Amino acid sequence: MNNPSTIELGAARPVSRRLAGGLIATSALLVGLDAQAAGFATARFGGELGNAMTNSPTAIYYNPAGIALSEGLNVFVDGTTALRSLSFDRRPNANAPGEVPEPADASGANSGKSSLFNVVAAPMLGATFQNKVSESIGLAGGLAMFVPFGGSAVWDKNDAFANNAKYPGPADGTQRYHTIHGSIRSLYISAAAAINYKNYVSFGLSGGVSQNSIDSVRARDVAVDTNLDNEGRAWLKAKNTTAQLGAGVMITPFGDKDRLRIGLSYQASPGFGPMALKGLLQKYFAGTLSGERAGTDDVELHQTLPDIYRIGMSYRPRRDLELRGQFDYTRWSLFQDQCITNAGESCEISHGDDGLKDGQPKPGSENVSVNLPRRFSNSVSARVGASYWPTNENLELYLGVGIDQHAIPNETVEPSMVDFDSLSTAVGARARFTKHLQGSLTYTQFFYASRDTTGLSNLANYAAPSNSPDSGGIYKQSIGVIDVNFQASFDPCGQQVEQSERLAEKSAVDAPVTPAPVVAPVVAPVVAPVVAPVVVPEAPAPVAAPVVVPEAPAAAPVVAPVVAPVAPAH
Amino acid sequence: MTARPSLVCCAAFSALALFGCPNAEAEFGEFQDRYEAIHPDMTGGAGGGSACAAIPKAGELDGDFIFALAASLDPKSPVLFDAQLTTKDGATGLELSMKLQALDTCDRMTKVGETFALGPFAVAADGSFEAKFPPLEVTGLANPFSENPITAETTITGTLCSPADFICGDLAGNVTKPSNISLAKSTFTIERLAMPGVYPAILKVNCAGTTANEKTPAKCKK
Repeated sequence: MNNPSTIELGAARPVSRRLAGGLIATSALLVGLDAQAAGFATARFGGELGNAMTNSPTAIYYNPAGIALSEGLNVFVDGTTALRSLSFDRRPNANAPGEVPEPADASGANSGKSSLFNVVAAPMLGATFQNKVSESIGLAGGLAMFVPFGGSAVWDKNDAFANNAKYPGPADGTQRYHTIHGSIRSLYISAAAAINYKNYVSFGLSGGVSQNSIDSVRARDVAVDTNLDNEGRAWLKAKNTTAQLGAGVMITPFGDKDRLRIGLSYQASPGFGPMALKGLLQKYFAGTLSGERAGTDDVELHQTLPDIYRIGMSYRPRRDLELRGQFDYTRWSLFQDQCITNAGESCEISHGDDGLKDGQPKPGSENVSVNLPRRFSNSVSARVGASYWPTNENLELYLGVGIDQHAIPNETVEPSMVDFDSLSTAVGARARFTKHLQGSLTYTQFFYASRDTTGLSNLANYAAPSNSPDSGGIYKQSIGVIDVNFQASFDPCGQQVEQSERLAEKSAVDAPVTPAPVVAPVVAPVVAPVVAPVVVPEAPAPVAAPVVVPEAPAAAPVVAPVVAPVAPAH
Repeated sequence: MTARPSLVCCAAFSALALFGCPNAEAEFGEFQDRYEAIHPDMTGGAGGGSACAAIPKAGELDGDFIFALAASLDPKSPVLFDAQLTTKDGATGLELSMKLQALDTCDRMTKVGETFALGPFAVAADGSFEAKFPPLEVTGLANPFSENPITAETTITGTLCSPADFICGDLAGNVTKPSNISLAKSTFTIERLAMPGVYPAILKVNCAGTTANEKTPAKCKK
C-alpha cells in the first residue's frame, strides 16, 4: 500500500501550468461514482492502496500527513470505473397514504421490478512535492482533484408501457417516484501541506473547495400520490461551491516510514455544516410547466454532508510483506434532510419530537417546497489487507477485505439513495515500469446483502411536504470497481542522495526482521563495501550488508552510486 | 425492461472518456412530449363561461355559495371556500363582490383562516366578468396537498347567467408560495348553498360538471 521509498526517487520539474490547466479541464468531466461504501461515499481512488497510511498523492484526501512521507515530485493519475447493477422490486404498502391502486389497464405500472446497469468512471488527479529543509524537518505540499461523494443512476425503461396511449408515466419504471435519471456529487479541488519531524511523526492539512451538485428528475404530482392520471415530473438541478478541510497525523514510531505507520485523519463536512445548493426546480404537472420563466424556480437545496474520521495502521514484519488495517467512521447522521425552498428561505424540519408532525416544517420554514427525509445513521467501515513483494520492490501484489455498514435506514431507503451492508474483496498489483514510473491495478468486488423494506418504508407517512410515495420493496445490488493509476516520480532537488542514504541506514535498522537471502549474492559485492563504512556505527556490518539488498537488482544502480558521497551527510 | 441504446453507448463512453450519463433534463422533456402526445387538447380548463341571454339584476343572486378552485395540477382536489356573493349597480353596470373564507380540506365544512373581501368587479352586458384577485394567503388547513399555507395570485373569468345558482369559468395565475406553480388551465365553480353552512357532498370543479374526489385527501389520513 505504501510506496516503497525507492520508487519515488528521481529528477523532475515543478508542476507546470499546463498540468494545472489539465486538472481544471478534466474537472468538467468528473462525475460521481455509485455509492460503494455507506451512504454515497464513493472514494475508491488509489484502489486498495488508497487509505490513511498512504504517501501517494491520494493522501491529500485520505490523510494529508502522508504526503510528508513522499519523496521528490510525484504526479498521480487515477481512473476508477464502477460497474453497477441494481434492481428494485417495488412492493408498496396498499394502506400507505397516497398509494392509489393500479388501474386495471395499467397492471405493473407501480409495482414490480425495475433495474439498471450503469458504468461510471471518475478520474482523480494529484501531485505532491516533498523536500527536506533540515536534518530533521521535511516539508511537503500537494494539489489534487477528486470526487469523494457521489452517485448516479440511469434506470432502464419499462417497455411494457412504451408508447402507452393513456399513461405517459409508467414507461420510466416503478422506481420513478424517487428517481429516473439522477446524479449527486461533491468534487474536491484540494491543496495540502505537511511537515515531517525526524521521520517519526508527520502532520498534514488539506483544504480547498468542494463543488457540490445534484441533478435529478422524478415522477411527482401535487397530491404526492401514485395516481397515474395526475402524474407529472419534477426536475431539480442545483449546485454550489463550499470550502472543505482535512487534517491528519502520521506516526512512524521506528523512524522508518515503511516499517510501521499509524495514520489518523479527519475530513470535515464540505462547507463545515449545512449548505445550500442554488438552482432550479421545474415541475410539469397536468400539462403545465410551473413557475416563473417557464417553469424555473430559484430554489435552494439545503443539506449537510458528513465528516469522516479515519485510523489505520500498516506494518511490515519483513521487507517483502506489509499488513494493513483501517477503520473509518462517517458521521452520516448529519445527513438528515434534503430540503428544497425558494431562494433565501430557511428550512427547519420537525422530526416529530417537538409537538409537530414528523416531516412538518417548523415555524419560520413554512415555504418549503419539498423535503426529502434521509435520516441517515453514522456508519463504520473496516478493512484489512496485505501486500507482498515476491521478487523485489518492482512488483507488489496485494489483496484486501472490507466491510461496510449501511447508513440509510429502512424507513427512508429509496431507489435514488440505496446502500447496503457489504463485504468487499480487492486484489491488485503495482508495478514499477521505469525509474520514474509505476502503476497499479485493483479490482474490488462488492457483495451486498439484499434489503427487503416491504412495509417498512415511512416515506408516505411523513407530513407534507416531506412525504413521497412508499418505497418499500426488495433492493439488490452488485458493484465491481476497477481502479487503474499511474504515478510518475522525480527528484528535482537531488534528494535522492540523502534519501538513499537514509534508506540504507533504515535498512540497517531493519536488519533483524529482514530476510537476507535471495538477492544478497547479487548485490552484496557492489553495495556491501560501500555501505559498510556508513552503517557500521548503527549496526554490525555483516548484518547491514544484506539488508540493503532487497531493493536490488533494480535498486542497485540507484543505491550504489548514491551512497558513495554520502558520508558528509548532515 | 431493456437498456436503451444511448445508455449502452454512454456506458462504453464513460469508461473511456470519463463521462457521466444521467440526463435529467432530457428525461424531463421526454415526459412532456409523451404527455402532450396523449393529451393534445390541453389548451384550457373546460371552464366555459359563454355569453348568456339574461344576466341577474342587482341583488338577485346575493347569497351563500361554495367556491371551488380547481388547479390543473389536480383538478379533482379543489381548494374550497365559503363564499358570500353580492351584486349592485355601478357606474358602468352590474358589479360583483364576494367574501371568501377557506374551508378545511379534511372535512370540507369548517371555516379556517381569514376572510377576504374582494371586488367589486365589473360584469359586462353579456354577463362576462373578469375578477383579478390580490395575492391571497390561504391557510395550510385548506391546502388539499400539504400542510403548507398557499399564496396565490389569480384571475377568474366567467359568466353570470340568471339565475346564477352555478357560476363557472377559467382560472389563471400562479401559486407563489410555498413554491411557484402555474395555475394555467385551471378552473373554478361557484355553487349556491341550499342553506348557509351546509355544503354539497358532490362538488363540481368546472363547467363541464366534472366532480371532485369524494375521498379525503391523503394528508388527512395521518
